[in-house]
Amino acid sequence: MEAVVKDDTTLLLEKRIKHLENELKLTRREKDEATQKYFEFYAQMDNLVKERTAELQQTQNALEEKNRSLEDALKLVQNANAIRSGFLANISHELRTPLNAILGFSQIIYEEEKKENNGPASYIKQIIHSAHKLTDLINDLISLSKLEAGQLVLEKKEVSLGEILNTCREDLFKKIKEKNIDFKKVVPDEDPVLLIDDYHVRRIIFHLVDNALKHTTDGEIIFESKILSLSKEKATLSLSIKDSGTGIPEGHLEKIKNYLSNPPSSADVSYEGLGIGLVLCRLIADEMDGTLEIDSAVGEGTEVRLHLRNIKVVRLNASAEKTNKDSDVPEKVCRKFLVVDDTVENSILIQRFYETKGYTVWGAPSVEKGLELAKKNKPELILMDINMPGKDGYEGLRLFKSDKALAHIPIIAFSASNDNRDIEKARRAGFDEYLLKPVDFNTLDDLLHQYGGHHSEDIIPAVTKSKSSIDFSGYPLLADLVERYEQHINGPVLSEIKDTLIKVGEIVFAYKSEELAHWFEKMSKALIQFDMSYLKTQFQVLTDTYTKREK
Amino acid sequence: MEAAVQTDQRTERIERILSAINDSDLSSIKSVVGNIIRLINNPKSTARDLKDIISIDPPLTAKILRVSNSSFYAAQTKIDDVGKAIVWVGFNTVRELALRQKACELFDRDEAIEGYRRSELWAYSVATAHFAKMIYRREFGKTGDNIYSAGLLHKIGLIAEEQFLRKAFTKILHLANSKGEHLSRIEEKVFGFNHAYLGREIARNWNLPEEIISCIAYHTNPFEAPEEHFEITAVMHVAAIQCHFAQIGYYSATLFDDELYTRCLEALNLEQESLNMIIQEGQLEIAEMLEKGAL
Repeated sequence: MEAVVKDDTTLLLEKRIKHLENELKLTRREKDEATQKYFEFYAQMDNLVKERTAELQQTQNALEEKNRSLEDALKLVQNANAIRSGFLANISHELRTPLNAILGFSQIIYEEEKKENNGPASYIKQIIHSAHKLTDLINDLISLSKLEAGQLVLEKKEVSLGEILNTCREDLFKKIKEKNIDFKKVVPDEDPVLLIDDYHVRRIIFHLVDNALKHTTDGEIIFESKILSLSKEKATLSLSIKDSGTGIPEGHLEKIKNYLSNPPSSADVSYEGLGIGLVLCRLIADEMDGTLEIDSAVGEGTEVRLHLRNIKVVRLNASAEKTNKDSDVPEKVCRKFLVVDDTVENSILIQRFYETKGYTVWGAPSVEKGLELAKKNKPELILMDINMPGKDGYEGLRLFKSDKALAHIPIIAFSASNDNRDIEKARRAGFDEYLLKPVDFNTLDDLLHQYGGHHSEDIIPAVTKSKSSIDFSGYPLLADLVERYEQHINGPVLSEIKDTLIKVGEIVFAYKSEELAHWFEKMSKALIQFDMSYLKTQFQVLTDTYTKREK
Repeated sequence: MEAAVQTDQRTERIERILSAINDSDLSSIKSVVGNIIRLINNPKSTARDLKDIISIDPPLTAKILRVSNSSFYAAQTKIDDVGKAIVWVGFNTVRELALRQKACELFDRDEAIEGYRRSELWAYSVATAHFAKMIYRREFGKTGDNIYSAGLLHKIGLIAEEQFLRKAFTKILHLANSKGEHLSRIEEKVFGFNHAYLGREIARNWNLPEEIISCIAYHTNPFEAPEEHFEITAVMHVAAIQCHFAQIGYYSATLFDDELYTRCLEALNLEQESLNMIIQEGQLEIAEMLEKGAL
């Protein structure tokens, strides 16, 4: 056997292999150890995670416990809120009933004193005024409590924009006069018919103008309404009331701005120093998907803007159809009517007020008595209280309508509740109208005019405004002003209409016609109340009469 | 009698140095380095223990994270936590890294005295540790954990002399340079002990394992080491000589004792060619670590 002689290179290579084998062996061992360590490390981490998870779970449990107790507390608060809202609604109902009597009887005394030109008349007027204010306040309180409880249901009606803007409260107008304030109103040219809760829009306008009046002694108030966008479906409105009054101090303004821009849900907003008017405006605006903005500078005045978005448009133009509807309503007044009310003061009040004016009014404390009286006397209209012991107003309605001899008589629901749901319920039940207590004699007057000589089947409900229309062709002198009438239809400017009416007044005085004098009185009233739609209609009739005649 | 007085003086001197070390910045090195070395020697130690030791020392943590994120370790994710470093870079590597970074603080503040530089001493220590570990692994098939620690710390006595016996140390260097005499022998003449002996006392004071104490104590003459520690001490000595060959030096005066070196190679049954192979690779590794920011 020959011994293998290894050369240096081979020896070195063998060495190298030995080195690498050792390195590999050690690396493997270390890898195993490291793997072992990783597992231990992860296990420890895992334990740590478990510990932390357990801690978290505990914290979460504690939080849930806290949440539950908070929820309980919230429920208590909500209950208390509901009780408070209910209490407010009840108490306001209770308040309205005596107010009804105060207001009514004051009105009677006022009428009587006025005839005899006695001093106390002005005091009584104050009483009436205050009672009206109290009524408004109660209405606002109810709205507020409903808004807070989320129970306010908007009652959307088809109403033209002009109609909303032109109905300004008479007492506001008086205040404007008293204070020597220049009141300017800017109305857009378009007059679309909108589906909107006009009552509440009017309330906002009323409060905003009222606020402006409070802080302006002399100067001007500008009420500007703009249609920001108008399509066949939707409209966006901007109403702005700008005064040149004292303005709001910066700190306070900040507070109001904060209140107006906060989300509606932040319940802890303090109402302090805001006044019920602004709070109400804001809550109503929220309800209508609207926003209120305010700008003010001390000494320069305040501007409040109401933006109403996404208002449904019914028709783009209101004026075309209106004229037809309003014309040719015969002026015949209902002179005999029956009041069914268990609160005897209510019937006596109405009896006293109207009997002096030559009306015949019967009062019945119950449905049964009412039926008896109606059969005997055949009244032209019936006012029916809703809440009565025994047979209530709905039962009464059913009984009257089921009697053939009485079925044609219009029946007006007469109630102290101004809840839209109650009003809607009454309408659905078949009442022709809904008259709110305390009775406002002007409204009742309108109703008596509206239902005068009508049978219930002819009634177009919800039109409460009486419109007189006379044959102007008998008064040719009025034709001289025809250009002015046309002008007023196309671009109504209040001061120009005032001038026209002064001229019309002279002509009316010259004719000495009772019919014409009555019409003129209505026109003047419409001017005071900014009832532009009425004025426009009348100017249209005048224009039509005289232009036809010329042809 | 005379010898006894000398011994007393030596002990007293060393004790003064030890208490000075314990009062100085080096004490933080003592606790962290001691803890890591104990961890290495405890088979039951866990990754979490290592994490806890490192996390106590924020500057050390920052250094370890910086090095772990260097391109040398090519981590696939940003390492922002010592736990992650242990998972990505490896338990053993982080352990070594921590030790190296902490021991590095010993060599802070570079300053040249008579051809001596701390930074060069540091480079020499790291290279010695690295080479010793490689030789130990490749030739003997043993993990080089303690030998690596010992390599990093074996010149601790010299550091202590330089820091706490500055004047005498400068004189010794001057003598060694001018006379070409072996440094240890001059130290013994001047101080009554050499840096290896001082290192041993420091290592004992730091409660380091016996194996490491022997390495430090006898790295200038492995044949004086206890029998059970001869192998590791001799490998250390051989590795240090390799640094000398490769001119990775701390000091221009010669430390080389050819006869002692040959005896060591024979006793360890090592051949220069095979060592050359290892050192060549080791130098490449060190160069790469330097280039990629791992040192």
